[in-house]
Amino acid sequence: MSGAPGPGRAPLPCTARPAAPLQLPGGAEAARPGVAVIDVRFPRGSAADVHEIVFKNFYTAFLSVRAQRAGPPGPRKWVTCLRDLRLMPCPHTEPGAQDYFSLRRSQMLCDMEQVTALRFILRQPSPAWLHFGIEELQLFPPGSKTPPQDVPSWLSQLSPPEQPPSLHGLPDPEKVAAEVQQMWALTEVVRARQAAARIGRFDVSAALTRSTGGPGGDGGDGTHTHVRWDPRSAAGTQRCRAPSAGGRLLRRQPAVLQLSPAGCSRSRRGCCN
Amino acid sequence: MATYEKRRAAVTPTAAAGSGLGDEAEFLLQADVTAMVREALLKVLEARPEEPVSFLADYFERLVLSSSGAAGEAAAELSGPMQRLSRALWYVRLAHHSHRTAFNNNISTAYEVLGAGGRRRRLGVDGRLYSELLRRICQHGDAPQEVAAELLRRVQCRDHEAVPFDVFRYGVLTCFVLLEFVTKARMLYDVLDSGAGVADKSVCQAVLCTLEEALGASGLSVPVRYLEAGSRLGPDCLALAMDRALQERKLSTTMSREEFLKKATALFVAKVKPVE
Repeated sequence: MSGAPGPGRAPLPCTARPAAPLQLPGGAEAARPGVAVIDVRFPRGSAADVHEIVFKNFYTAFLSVRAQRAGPPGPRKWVTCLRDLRLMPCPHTEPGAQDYFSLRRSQMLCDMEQVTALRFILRQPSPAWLHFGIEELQLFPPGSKTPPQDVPSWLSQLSPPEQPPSLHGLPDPEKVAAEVQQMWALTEVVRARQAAARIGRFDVSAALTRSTGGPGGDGGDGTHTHVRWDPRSAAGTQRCRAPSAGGRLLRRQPAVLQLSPAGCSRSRRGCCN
Repeated sequence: MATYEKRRAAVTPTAAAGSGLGDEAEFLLQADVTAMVREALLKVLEARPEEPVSFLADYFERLVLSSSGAAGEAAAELSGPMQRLSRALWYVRLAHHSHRTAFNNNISTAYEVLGAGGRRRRLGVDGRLYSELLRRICQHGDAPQEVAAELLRRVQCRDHEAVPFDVFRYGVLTCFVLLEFVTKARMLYDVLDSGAGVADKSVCQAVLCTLEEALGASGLSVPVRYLEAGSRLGPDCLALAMDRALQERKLSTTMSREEFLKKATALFVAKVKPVE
């Protein structure tokens, strides 16, 4: 049997003979009667309960299913489970020709317990489709449902497991929820934004190791007490002040600089300091 | 016949009032009133102020000043940094931050005003003015002192730095959102104390913890995060949390309003990305 079963479901092991077209006895050339039969038997003649039949159609228009049951009284007999189920709305056209079908026990006419063999009678009356059949046939026993998928706990908890018995002494949860949700939304607004432009602040904190000690460079607003010199941070583009002065770089944005010459000279002085 | 009479009747009143109408239209044209009113309306639409009357009054007042004081540098009103600061503050407070386009317009106007150069000054907003503006916004909005200080520490610029427009907008928006957040936190405290004046500590803690958990889910894709936060902050989950807190507490202690505000705003400020 080809095809993978659904998660958590194991199809019944069975063997199917390939679709055999009905032939009129005595006919010399191979006729194309438009009827084919697929026989499905269980291994070693065992019987099984069939709850669901899943298959992929291949241009079959009508399907009948007969089951052979090992009835307790007497020999096995063939019972019709499905009579002329229409798989394709119009046998000549494409729709439904390659669809997947799933037949449940509830759709069947008889009990599907202790089935020893199944016979699928396929009919395709249209001359348009010469070859037809069923593919990926799988039979499923009862009781195998798809296990619940992994949902996050907060989603599966659609109804709260317990309600607080009384709301005495509790503030009104509706109002609390309204306020808290608005606060959450405001925080999300801020969290989502970030200043796209950067100031380009270079804090050159020069390191004075413990051995040398000495006063840490008090950088202007007194926030740096230890200082660490990382030569990599100072590499390349900007010239830096000497560490002892607790250097801060002055960097102007180009847009601001396009002005009077007085502005330029001031900024130049600032940068090169 | 009837149409002719009607037309004739129509002609005569217009002819009679035509002189009146013509006078009025001419008068309007002469005084440039149409253009002025149109300008004023456009400005109102751009700024979307919450008090349009005072906005219009101020607009016309400035118009008068600028037209009359064109000779003198009574744009000494413009040159002083303090005046520019108050002007920018006025602009920035016009529209609520949720009216995004109007708010952005106002911020850009405020940026231009603040960054206008005088005779001796360079163009551009420097860190000192920017920080001062943020401080005034927080002060005007009645934010508690340390909360504002904490936010400003993240968002302000140093005195000598030049502030690009993006950073300016980010800082101002964050300040306004903080002010609204503080208002909401105050209202939440009012709900939590149920009219008693002080709220139970464990209940407050429970609510704040729920909010923190809802905020803390990062790293998920955005829609999932919203769903999860929504389910956590629903009334039933909150009622459960509060009920559990009330039952588990041993001593009944209260949390003051200031402490609640401080904790709530700490959650907010933690999410603000610092300017760098």
